[in-house]
Amino acid sequence: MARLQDGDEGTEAPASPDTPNVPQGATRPIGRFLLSSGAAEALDILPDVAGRPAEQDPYPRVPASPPFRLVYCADRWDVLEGHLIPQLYRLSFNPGVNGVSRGSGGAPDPTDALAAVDRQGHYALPWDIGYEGKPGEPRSYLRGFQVGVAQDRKTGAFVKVISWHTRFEQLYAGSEHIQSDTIGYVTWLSGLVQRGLLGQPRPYVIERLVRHYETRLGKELSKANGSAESANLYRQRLGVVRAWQEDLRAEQMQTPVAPLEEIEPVVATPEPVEPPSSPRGKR
Amino acid sequence: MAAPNANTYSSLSDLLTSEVLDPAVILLLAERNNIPRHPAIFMAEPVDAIGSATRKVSHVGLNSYDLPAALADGSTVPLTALTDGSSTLTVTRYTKAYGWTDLARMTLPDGRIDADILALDAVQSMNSRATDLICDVIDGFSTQSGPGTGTDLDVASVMALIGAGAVGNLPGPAFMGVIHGQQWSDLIVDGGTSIGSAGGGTQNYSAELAAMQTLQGTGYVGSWLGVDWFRNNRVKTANAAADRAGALFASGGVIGCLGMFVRGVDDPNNQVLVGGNSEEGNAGVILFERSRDAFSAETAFVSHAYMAWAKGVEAGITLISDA
Repeated sequence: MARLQDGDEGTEAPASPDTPNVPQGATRPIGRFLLSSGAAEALDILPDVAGRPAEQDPYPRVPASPPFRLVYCADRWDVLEGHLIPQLYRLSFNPGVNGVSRGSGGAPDPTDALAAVDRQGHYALPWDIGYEGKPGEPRSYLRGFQVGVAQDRKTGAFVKVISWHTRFEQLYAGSEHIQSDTIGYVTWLSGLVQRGLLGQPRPYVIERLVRHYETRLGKELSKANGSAESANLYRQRLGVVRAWQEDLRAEQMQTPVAPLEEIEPVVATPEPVEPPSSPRGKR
Repeated sequence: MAAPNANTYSSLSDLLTSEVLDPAVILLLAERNNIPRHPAIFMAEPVDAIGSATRKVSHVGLNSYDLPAALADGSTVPLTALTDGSSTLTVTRYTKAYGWTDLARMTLPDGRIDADILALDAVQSMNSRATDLICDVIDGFSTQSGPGTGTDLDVASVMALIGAGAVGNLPGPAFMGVIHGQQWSDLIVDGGTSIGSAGGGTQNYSAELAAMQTLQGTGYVGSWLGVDWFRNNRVKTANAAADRAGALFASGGVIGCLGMFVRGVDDPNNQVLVGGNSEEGNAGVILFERSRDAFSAETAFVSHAYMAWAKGVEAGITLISDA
């Protein structure tokens, strides 16, 4: 491939006898231009550019972040990508946060933090939850990206600086952007719920969401400048949670009600009330 | 075209240098707004001289947590089991070091990087780390609110959030709201366009707000609906980064503990405490020190702070909206 030579840019080509100097806008003479497509032929060249070649940043420009466990809380649910899914939060293995300490070897010790999660009735998902060992299936929902290199002052060894994310997040070299694979995330999470590895949404959670999206939809429709896109989104989400509500009602209808005799009410009373030995009072 | 033998910029290569440092520097972009000390953040006593790096903060169900029962006259009242719980704060060292060889330091122009500038960086960085850790806590309240995942935050959602706070018995009077820049952006867009009043949702200049921003930092975006709102881009993601998880919380929702260096420093010539609050009578919570390695002719400036943050009681609501 040829390169432009100094002076190529900006020099005027000598006038050709085939291209007479015609004022702009005037009708060009009928000649070989009109007989062809008229497309100018591009030169097969690259421009000469002075300077050093830019060094590509090999790492994502995302700060280092600690590993974490996703935590399930039975009260936190919402609709994403057409599925009702639990709203997990991250329990970061960040020493100094939520009782995470640093072990003797320097690694974070989340023992107390995980115990606190249990005490709250939440559930910290194991990294390999739902892993079935299918070919190509990642073992963990967690994965680390190298975002830099640090040198250990004592040993002199270079260590990777890692930023931990779910496997549904993608980082890019030289960029701070994090691409989210929400469909993959929702599919994975819905699968965990369907397989019983995570609890189903409770009736009160569903009712709350139904009310929430009914309100949102009503407000959007009543707005003078309401957005049809938002209204459709709320309508779709309302449809999802109503479907769950109907399924739950159908289940409740099919579940036989226990006879009254079998229900043992738990009532704390100071002492059992003894029936009077003989009827007293006015008759 | 220059005349033959004319001196051009490129021909005087031994008289000119390709670049000269400008006396000013421009900071690289970063989130420099921090969450300040605020009454909505419960601070436990420091760990200095207590015999452990871990503090346990007790939760107790008193003052109307359990209500008296109606009993028949003459009957015996049963004992009420006192409900309790606790949060653990394990104080951990956070540290940073910058080092230079003598040759690097002696050739650097004056005022560009020196001990004062690095001490300022230490204070700023530690506060940013504390903010980052607090953001790690606030995404995990059991109650969540918001317009819905993947949906922009709007005025109605924030109003509903305030209502949820009232229903959830969040204790006043101080409430703190921390939201991501994207959430803040979505909120003011909704406030400025949906409400139909420019003053409703957008931040207008006021002397009071400017004065508070001086105290609270530029991340403070105003008090609205009884909540002091802070915008911070260290707010964490949720739902595989599709959302951001800010929060509204009151005292007891987020708890913290620091190491305060109450015994002072051992070597005042090379160590100084910075980042203190003179009103609280402490010299500083960050130990900033100079470390000299004569063998490698290297001087390092190292800063250390000791802190822990955790969720206390459920005195907060996680606010999830589109990232």
